[in-house]
Amino acid sequence: MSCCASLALLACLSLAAAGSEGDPGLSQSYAAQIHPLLVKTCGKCHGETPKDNDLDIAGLNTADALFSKPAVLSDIAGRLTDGDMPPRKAPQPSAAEKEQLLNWIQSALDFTASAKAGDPGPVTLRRLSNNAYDNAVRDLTGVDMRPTRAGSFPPDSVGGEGFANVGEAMPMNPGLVERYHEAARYVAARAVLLPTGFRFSPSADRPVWTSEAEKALRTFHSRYADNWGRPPRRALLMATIKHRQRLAEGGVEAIAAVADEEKLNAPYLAKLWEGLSGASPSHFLDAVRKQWRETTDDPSALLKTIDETMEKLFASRYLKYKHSVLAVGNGFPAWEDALRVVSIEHLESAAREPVFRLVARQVAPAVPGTFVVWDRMRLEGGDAPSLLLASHPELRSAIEAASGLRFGQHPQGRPVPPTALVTEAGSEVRIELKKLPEPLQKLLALPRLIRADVSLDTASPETASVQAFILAEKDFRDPKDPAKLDSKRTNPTAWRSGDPLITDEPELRVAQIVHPRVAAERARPAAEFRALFPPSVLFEPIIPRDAQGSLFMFHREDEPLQRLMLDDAGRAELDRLWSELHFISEDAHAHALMYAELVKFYANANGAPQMDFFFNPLIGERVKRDEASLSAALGSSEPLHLDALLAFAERAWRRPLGLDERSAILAEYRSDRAAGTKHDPALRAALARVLSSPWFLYRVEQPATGPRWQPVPGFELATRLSFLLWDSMPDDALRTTASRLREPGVLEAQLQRMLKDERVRGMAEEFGARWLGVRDFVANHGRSLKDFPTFTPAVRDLLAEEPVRFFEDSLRNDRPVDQLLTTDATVLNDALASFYGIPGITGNSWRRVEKLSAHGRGGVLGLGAVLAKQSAAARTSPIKRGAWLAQILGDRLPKPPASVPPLPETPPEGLTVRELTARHREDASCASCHDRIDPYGLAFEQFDAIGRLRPVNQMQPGESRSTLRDGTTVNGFAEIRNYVVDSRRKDFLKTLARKLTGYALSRAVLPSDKALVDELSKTLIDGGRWSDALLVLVRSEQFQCIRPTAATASNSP
Amino acid sequence: MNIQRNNWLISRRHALRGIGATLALPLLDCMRPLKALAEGAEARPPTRTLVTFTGMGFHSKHWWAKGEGAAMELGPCLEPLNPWRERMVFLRGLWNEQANNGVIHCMQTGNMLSGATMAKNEVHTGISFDQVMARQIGDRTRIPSLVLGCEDAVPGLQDGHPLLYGSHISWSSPVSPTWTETRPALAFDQLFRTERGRDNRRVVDAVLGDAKSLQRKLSSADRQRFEEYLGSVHEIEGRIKRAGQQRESGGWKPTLTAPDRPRPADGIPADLPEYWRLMNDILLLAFRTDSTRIATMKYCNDASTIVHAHLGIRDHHHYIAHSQPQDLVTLNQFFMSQLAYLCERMSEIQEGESTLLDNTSIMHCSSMLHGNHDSKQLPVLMLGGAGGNLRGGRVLDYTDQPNRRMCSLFLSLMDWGGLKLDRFGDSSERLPRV
Repeated sequence: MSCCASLALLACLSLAAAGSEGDPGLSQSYAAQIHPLLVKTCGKCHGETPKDNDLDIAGLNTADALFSKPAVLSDIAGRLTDGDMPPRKAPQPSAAEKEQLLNWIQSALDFTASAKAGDPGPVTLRRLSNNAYDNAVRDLTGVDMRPTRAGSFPPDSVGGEGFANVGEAMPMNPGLVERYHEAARYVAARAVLLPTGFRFSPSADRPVWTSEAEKALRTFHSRYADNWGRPPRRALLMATIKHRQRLAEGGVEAIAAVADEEKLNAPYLAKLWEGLSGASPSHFLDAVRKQWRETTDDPSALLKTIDETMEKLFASRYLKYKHSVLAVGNGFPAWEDALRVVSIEHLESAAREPVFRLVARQVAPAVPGTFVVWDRMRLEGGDAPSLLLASHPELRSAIEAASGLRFGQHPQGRPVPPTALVTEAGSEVRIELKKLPEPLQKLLALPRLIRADVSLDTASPETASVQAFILAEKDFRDPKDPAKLDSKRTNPTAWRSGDPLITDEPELRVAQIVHPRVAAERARPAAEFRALFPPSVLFEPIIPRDAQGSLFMFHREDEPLQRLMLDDAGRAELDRLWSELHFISEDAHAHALMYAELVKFYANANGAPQMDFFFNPLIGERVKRDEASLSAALGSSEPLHLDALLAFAERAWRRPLGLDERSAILAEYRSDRAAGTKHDPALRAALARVLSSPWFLYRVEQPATGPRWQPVPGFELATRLSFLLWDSMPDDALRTTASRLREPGVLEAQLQRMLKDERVRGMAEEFGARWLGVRDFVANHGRSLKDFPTFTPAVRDLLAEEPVRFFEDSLRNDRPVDQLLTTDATVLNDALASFYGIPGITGNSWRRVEKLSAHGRGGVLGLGAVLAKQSAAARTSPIKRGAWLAQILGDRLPKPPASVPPLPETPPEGLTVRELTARHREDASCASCHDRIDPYGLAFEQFDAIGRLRPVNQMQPGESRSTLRDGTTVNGFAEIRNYVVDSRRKDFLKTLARKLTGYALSRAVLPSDKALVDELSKTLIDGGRWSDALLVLVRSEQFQCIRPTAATASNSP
Repeated sequence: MNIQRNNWLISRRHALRGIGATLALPLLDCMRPLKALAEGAEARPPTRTLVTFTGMGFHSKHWWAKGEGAAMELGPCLEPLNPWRERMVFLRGLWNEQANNGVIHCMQTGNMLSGATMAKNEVHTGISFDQVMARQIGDRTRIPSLVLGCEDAVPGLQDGHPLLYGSHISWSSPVSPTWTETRPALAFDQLFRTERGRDNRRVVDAVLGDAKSLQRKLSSADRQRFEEYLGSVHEIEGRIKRAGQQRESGGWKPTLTAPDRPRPADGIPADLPEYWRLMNDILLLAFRTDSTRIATMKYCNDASTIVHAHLGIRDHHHYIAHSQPQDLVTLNQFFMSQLAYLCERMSEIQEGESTLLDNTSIMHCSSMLHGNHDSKQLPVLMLGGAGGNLRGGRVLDYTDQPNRRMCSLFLSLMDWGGLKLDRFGDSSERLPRV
């Protein structure tokens, strides 16, 4: 036939403007020549009553009838070309007739293709696939909780070109709706409410959320201090030494530069520099400064001096025994100042027995004429109000009688407050009140504490220094041997009865009381040192540890951190983390309950003196205050949660919410509250409701309004883009550019950005692994575990992971697409490499490894999962592997015969797989297909049924040699791959282009996609990278547009 | 109603137009008050309908039966059913004509219970007869039907044909297979979890509101697709409503009012016989408590690749269905032992004068006769008394009969189950002699 005929056809084509229903020239020639010819050739079986088939060619008597079935058209062309049809036994058309038919069909296909080129096609409403749902939940919540896996959703089904994003293949039924509602509750149960919004957790348990909040705090802490809470003091000092000159000359900028260079905390560096280079006299610092000036390199000696000074100036409950912190959380700090110097000291002691000692010990040298004023001695704690001893007549007189002292009287007659007793420094006064009546004695017992405000009489010498103690306790001297002390004593107060009343070694934790005039000046040097060199900047354990248990769940002590190392933002962050920890753990509620219980318990069980602190009114006040502030925080967070809920809904539904929708969501929440539901469950119900909505489950797109297809709005395009690349919803960066996606360069930039993002794994799984047929490898690998004991679940998972990682690597690095086939690399970790027998790979991180041809790896043809999946249960299957490759190359295979004769029963012993397969091909009806597929598969016989290379000595010579249908002989992996690379690269890429188009458009490829598929094929064949290929797709009309609402007949395939 | 007009004879486009109405049906049905209750007394136990399925047929040499009554002889594959042969009818020669027009396996299975055509490249076939029953008479019980499976669906395409077909015999709409529950615990919940909290109801209400506004934004084609979702939510709404309603008891009372066993553990038992047994037990429980009267049990998919290692078999089911070693007989016997178990349990349950077995019609079927992909005749067994309608101990051969349609048998099954239709699928007459 004739060029003339086709030229004529072309002429007709160009005359017939696009937009007409059919082409008059094609219709005429169809009626006149083609249909009669078709009926002549095929009509015997495909007549009015088709025999054994469903194709009535006789009935397709107008060109329009045929145009409406483009799939039939291309099927006829394919079968004619391949010689499948008419069957060999039937009369064959002449070569000219065949050519005439094929040319007409080609013109007809081209015509339909160009008339509707760019048609977005019918894209059925898409539901989120399991993977898309899980990914969307991950991106919405920031937690990869995979609800569909937890809820055992049924596996996704696929449609179109074989992908799980095709609406038609995504049925919905009540069971699934219930699963979705369940999944939504699963997610909502994992919301963690915060003071200003909510986050999500992998767990639904509050204790786990609390540990997460603790962990966040620890992570923050670890940026500033080691796991003892110590700042990097050595490095900081080193920097001040190393950069002394620079810092001296450069001021603030130099400090910032040095801190940056040495990766040190700039605020602390600045303060240290200031402290060390400062000149105003300061006793403790001066020693350090001097040594610092002399140090030029190693600061060890300097550090030693600092540490020793710290030892003197701090008393710790923490550092030495990190894991036996002594009741740090029960209101006691981890560090206290040692060698405190004060003008007035507030003393306190637990009342146990009606025996008190007032001890005023002088720090040597003893200064005569020093008097101590014990003012406002009182009983406090428990539930009763404060009781001033001086104003209780009976107690007052009993005390005066027992002590020989008088309230309001100075031994030397100096003026003192009427509520004070005065003793001389270096004396001990014993006050025994055992003779008091029982009810009065009880007043003096726990849960009461005895307190006093102690100072020096202002007439005392300025050089005097006193340490004062109230000991409300037994006499600890052993009654039998007064020189020895009772070993069982438990009072932590250091001074014991019998210790000398004048000492060279003052108790470190006990304040030295000095004359008010000199107190401030004498306290200054120690304070200055402490301010600059705290032993720790924070209480690292966060949770107090104490053998007795702590009332408070957490202990915050980080004043030095805030003062020395944080700026305003850092302090705000730290406060936020703490407030979240309290908010999440709701510790204050627990404390209040616990406190009430403890007070009740210890109020009755006297004789548990170690629990003194529970009767400390400060603790009770703190418990009440914390509880009130938690309740306030909970209350004020509620409206913020609702704001966050609406923002969450907007992201979940991937579009702006209407006002009515906002108020509907809130109304449901409010009606729950009105019905008595608490905020927390009502908010969770609202979250679950948002995620149960079809707006989340379906990818809703508004159809075009005109008669023709139209571009979709920006946010829908953004959604298409993100599901294409990530199989998930858009992120914030994409959402904010959604309205500008059609401006020059914006779409391109987003695509580039998204391609590099780790979420591109979504495409690796849903396009890559599905295209290769291994997406369901974990569940449906088909391996017989009995025959392959080494095929453990771990190996199975590794094999399933490799193709995904391989694709991910290809996508994220934007490699040329054809390298999927041509590369000699794959992506491995140590375990998979050892399964494959590839030496020299250590570590379980996945990485790209090149030059693996000798190991039978590299590219999609060497993937273990594919080789294993395309095997029989217990042996290899050249048939399955061959059919797989035929599919990947887009080879057309004839329809399998309806009745396949059974294979021989058990294969005779000693028959190789190769021989078994050969037997299969002896049958003529099998051979027509299997001659095309088996030779491919035989070349892969080097691999066993779980995808490993078989040892050479276990293979018979030529076992992996085969002659392909085109006469090429190949032997083994390397040669079959070379064959595909050298001779079939274009076929491979064309098929890939078609699949990629189908994946991008969520539907089967249509004839009207021809130009797009051709352009994409060309891009791939020219060595295009992923970004090139994806740009072709995302710029296409198909991808960017949507059909109008009532798809008219001319728009349907 | 639309479903009776068999849309498989009509083009896809017509069918799509019909879906709107078709899919609205579950809504109407389940919104209807429990009318059966009002109608009152059912004097005698109802007839239950149970379909069981295993894929890929049976051993070509050992699937046979001959003789009658007690003298009936059974081939080795049927050996476990020997004690029940007098309750059994062995049918030969039935077929679904449309199952012979597509690719092998999946296209031989998707229309197993509907006889409808199956579209290529998209999922579209007919509603199966169990779901027609569920829609029309399923409101007599708490749940319209119970559809169980012992193997998950397989995703993928086979030569452009959705493998969904091969994993589902029960279809609740032309485009949707019925939810096939494979998790014992969730199947149990489906039957007995009647406590649905206010949250649930609120979610259903809210979601229905969303669905209405969403629907307005859709194209007409998508609107039809979305009906499927709406219908599903409505059905859940109906279930919630029905869960709160008290059923009036008629003359007949079920033998159990509440489950006599605890909820099974989550997940799937690792031991396959234990798993299948558990699913059988849940099915029996559904009938005993009269939670439903219509049930479908898919023991395995067509082209199943389960390796039945518990029987000492090394290769997977699909493979031995082709190669037909002795193992295949062992496997076939294992399938039949499931039926024997059901018969045994059912016969122990006394419902007045009769047993549950007397009041059940069990049909077992497969997608092809042997592993050779030929579905020109299908292996079919009937068991039980079908409420006095079925006499066992017979072999019926339809090989050369003009009417050998599965759909004719389905018409008979529906008759016994209480639904009289003039036609179903490709048939408008009952199967003679059965």
